[in-house]
Amino acid sequence: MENNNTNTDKENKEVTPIKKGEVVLREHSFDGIQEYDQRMPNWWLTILWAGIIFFFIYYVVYYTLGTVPTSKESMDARVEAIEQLRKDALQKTLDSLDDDIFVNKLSMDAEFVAAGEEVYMGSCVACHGADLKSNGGATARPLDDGVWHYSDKPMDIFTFILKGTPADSTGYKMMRMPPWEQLGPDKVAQVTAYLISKNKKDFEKFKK
Amino acid sequence: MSNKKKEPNLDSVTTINEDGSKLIIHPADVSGRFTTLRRITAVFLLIIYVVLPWIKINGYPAVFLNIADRQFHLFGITLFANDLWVLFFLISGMAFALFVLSSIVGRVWCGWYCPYTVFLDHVYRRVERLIEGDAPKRKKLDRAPWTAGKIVKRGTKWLSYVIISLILAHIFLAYFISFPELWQLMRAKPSLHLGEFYFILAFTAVFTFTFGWFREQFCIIMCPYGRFQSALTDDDTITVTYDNVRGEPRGKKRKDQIDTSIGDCVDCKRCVSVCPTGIDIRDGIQLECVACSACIDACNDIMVKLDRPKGLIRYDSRNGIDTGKRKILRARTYLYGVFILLGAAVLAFTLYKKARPFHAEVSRFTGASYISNDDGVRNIFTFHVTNKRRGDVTFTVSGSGSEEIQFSEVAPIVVSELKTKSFTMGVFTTKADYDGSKDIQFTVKSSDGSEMTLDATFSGPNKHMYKRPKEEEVE
Repeated sequence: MENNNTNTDKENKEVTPIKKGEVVLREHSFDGIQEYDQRMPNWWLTILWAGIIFFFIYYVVYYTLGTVPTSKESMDARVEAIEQLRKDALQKTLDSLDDDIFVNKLSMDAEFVAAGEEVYMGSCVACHGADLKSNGGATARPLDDGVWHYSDKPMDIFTFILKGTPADSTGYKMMRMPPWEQLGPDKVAQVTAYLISKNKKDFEKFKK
Repeated sequence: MSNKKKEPNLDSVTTINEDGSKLIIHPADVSGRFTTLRRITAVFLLIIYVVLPWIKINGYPAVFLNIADRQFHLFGITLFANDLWVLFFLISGMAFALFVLSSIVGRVWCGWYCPYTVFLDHVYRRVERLIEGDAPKRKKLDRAPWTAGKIVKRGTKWLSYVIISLILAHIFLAYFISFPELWQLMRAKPSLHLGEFYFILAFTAVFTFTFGWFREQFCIIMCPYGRFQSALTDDDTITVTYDNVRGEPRGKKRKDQIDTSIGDCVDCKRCVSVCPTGIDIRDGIQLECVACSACIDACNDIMVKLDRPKGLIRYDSRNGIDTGKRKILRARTYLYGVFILLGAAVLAFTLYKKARPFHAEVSRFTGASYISNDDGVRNIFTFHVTNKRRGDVTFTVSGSGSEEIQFSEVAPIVVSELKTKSFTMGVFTTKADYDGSKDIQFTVKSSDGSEMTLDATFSGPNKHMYKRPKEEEVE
């Protein structure tokens, strides 16, 4: 490619004015291909260099020196904080509950019991039946026959629903009830109150 | 007339100097039909951008992209994370529409509708014009030493940019957190919502830098739309074109001079001085040209003064100028039409299959996949139903499969707006009726009439092993 009026002459410092349509090409040629003598925009080069320097600083700070917690570390810390909050909430609920409160206060509270019924209808019906008869005992222990297999104390029932039936038991028809703590301690308390309200006779001994 | 160190040419970008620094160009004032039309379009678009997060449709802002809660409110419907397939159609649809538009009218999106141009040309440049005056005045100010007057002018200009950028950043944020939330956060301490505060700081800086200094560099260098123009435009694409057949060869002549050996272009260079991207449209269709039509209005101005017909620069295609025939409907356009129909058909089918005002999914309850004993085989399933509309909706679930399979009763479930509820259902068959694993279906019906069918498998033990009498051999 012809190249005239170039001002890449290094010895001659004079710059010839560039006319319209003219191109400044660099001297070297690779297989007949030449380069424009044009710098990249400065902002582009600045970002490139800043990016490279930032990469080195970032790598050293995060992965070598360990001065800043890595994403895994900060995630683990957050999960731990959430677990602690969950434990505290559960402890708070447990502290406010006992057999006496269940029988004499919570199971008498119509709103609390109604909430418990809603939880029951959503989660417990599949095995224990809408009528608490557990499909005639086919799928789970009936909840209205006066028999409380593991324990008839309200707090124990609360714990069985929360954590599942005891690990060392063989279960009913070879299956133990799974834990329901994903509902949260409040909902489990509501369901327990609902069950008590449906079986008032069985809890007479706790009545005041 | 222009203060450029070099004249625009096809081999370099005017606004990038040889040493890499930016050549700041000051487009001259221009007025005319297209400028007026552009202004009206821009005002219209600005109103839309500002007002969209304000208008409430169905109780939520018209556009509210609540990323924090993964709920996207668009003009009355709410999309959840499990509606991501809509995004596929949205993005590919928009991209394809842009392709079709580009092949027919080139970069018309850039000069007329792009939010970048709307803010740059019709907000920031207007402010600059107000404070620093027209192009000759601004060029003079560039060259002037730093006097008190220059400091005041420049200071006021950049302060105005920062204030406008602040306002724009807040409106932008409102698209993601909604205006009511924005008012609340503005009245609270920044430390309580550092994420949003940094967002505002960052975007104010970005807008100020971009619309105050970077300007046309984005359109020329960064915007991908500009980059694939060369692949999409062809000789029938209608865009801002100089009629070189009529205009060449250039020559200066007076109004009443009739010399047919010279073309209509008098080399007044008005088209170059008004160009915001610093090109000479007479060199032909170029990548930098954003179809802002300033050169059309500028040239028409001059043509009128010289008693010549307008349209030396006009919206036309290469073939239109060479042969006088504009072909908008060509093989390519027909093909695009076919693809659009195809895409529309796929979209319609997917909507029919998947679009519901609620979301329901079923999974096996945690634990063993089936319970089997002498009474029969039982599966327990968990359902999660999400109400995507306003107000409470009641859902009912029913199951179907073969006649021997019984489904436990589930009371109707009421789900309040945008909430999800979970519940369980048991599926049972007696030992005598059990016939191996079967495919079953659940139908979730909502009280507003729509329904969804979910497939599941009723699983159980191997039929023969299960039914084998305890003491006897298998026959």
